[in-house]
Amino acid sequence: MGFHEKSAWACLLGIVLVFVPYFAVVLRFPMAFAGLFVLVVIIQVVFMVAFHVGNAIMSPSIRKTGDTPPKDELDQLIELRAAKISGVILGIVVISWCMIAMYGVPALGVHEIVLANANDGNDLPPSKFAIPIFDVLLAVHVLFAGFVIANLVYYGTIVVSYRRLANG
Amino acid sequence: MDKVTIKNRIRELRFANGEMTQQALADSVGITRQTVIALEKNKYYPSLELAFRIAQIFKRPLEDVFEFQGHVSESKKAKP
Repeated sequence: MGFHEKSAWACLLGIVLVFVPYFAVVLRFPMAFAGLFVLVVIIQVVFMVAFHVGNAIMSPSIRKTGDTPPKDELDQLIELRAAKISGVILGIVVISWCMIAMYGVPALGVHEIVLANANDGNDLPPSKFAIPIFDVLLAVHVLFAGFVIANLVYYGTIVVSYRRLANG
Repeated sequence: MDKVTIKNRIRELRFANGEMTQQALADSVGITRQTVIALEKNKYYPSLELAFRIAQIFKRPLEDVFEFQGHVSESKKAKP
């Protein structure tokens, strides 16, 4: 297994191990992200540094040259293909999110006015509406999850491409 | 268009050139060993530049190393 494939595996595993538990928590409890996000970023950075240090120690070519092997034309082709696929996924996620937000935000806000008027007898002007911070944060977490999924697809495509070259 | 196949004799020429290893060939043309493996298995067709560099290492003309075996259907043939 070459350095660039190992690197893609490390990124893939790092994202799965770190961000799956993160989203399992924040999608249920959107307010719980503050400390957790910092922790997740630190763990991800430590994981990647540990991988690169470990790989440098294990790899004779890196020990000899003191640098990671350069990407050749096949590596670049695989990365370009992965970037194209993940870019399409990210585009679909962002556009879907925007469409849902554009139609959902006014509906959610109006819903809140109706509830507010019904429950408290408030006389809110119709031009104003309120969206709970819980829902706003949840929407932001969903968008961020889309970005992470696009990254998973990127590294997953790279890994699959290398495996198909090696086995298929 | 029919499927294009480009066969190569890289493996054969490596052994003919003093049992050159895949890593040695990779280092001499600036690619990774994985790319040499992919080339030998015909899983990847190299760029023209890489093909010339490989042929240069073996001191052979390009057509001695790579052989075009594909066929282009009549409708897709370039018109003069």
